[in-house]
Amino acid sequence: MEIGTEKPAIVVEPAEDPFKQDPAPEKEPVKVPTKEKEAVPA
Amino acid sequence: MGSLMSELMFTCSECKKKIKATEVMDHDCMIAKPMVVPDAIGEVFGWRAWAVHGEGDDVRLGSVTHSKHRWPPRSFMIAECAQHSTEEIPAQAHTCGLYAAKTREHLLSMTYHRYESDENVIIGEVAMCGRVIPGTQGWRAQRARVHKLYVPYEKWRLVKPLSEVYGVEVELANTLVLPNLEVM
Repeated sequence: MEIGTEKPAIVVEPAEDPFKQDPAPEKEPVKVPTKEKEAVPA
Repeated sequence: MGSLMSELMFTCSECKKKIKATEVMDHDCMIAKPMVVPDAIGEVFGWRAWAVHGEGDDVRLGSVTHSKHRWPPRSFMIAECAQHSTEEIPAQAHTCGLYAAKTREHLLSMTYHRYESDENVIIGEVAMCGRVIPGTQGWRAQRARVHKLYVPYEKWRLVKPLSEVYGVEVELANTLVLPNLEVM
């Protein structure tokens, strides 16, 4: 490929990894419905 | 303080050897690979053409001029050279490195994008980094990744597999002409 007149090399580095994937959002704990305690007669 | 320093231990990321803090500067891996301070932070963007090989999950982008090279999905393509180490590529007085045109117009002027009906040739944008040689019309780079792809309308079946395998935006386009010259 023709890229024209070349200049001296430079070093370029991305600020962060471009392939880094955002961690999956934390799932909220599933709330298991609990049976309401039956009222105990006094 | 001195005794505390001599007790600290490090693990070399190259050879995994445990080294004392006082030995770090003399360790072979550290001496062989000095730290390179970048001239700029970011990536350089350019234009390329690729030949598409395979189907479905096995679809891969390859060079239109070097048939054996395949661009790895979701990672950097790293330039290789028989005469230079990875750190030396692209060498100033050589032709090695990954090439890209500065503009879509210049890429099209070089005719790499042209194809016969039985060929799958597409164009796209690459992001380059590492050691980079700027040219007046393009770039030569040590590392490059696929940034965005443009697939000819009649090759629409390539859009889904390329998008899924390379994880980049893939757009249908007339790749033979510049966007402002497309017949609406």
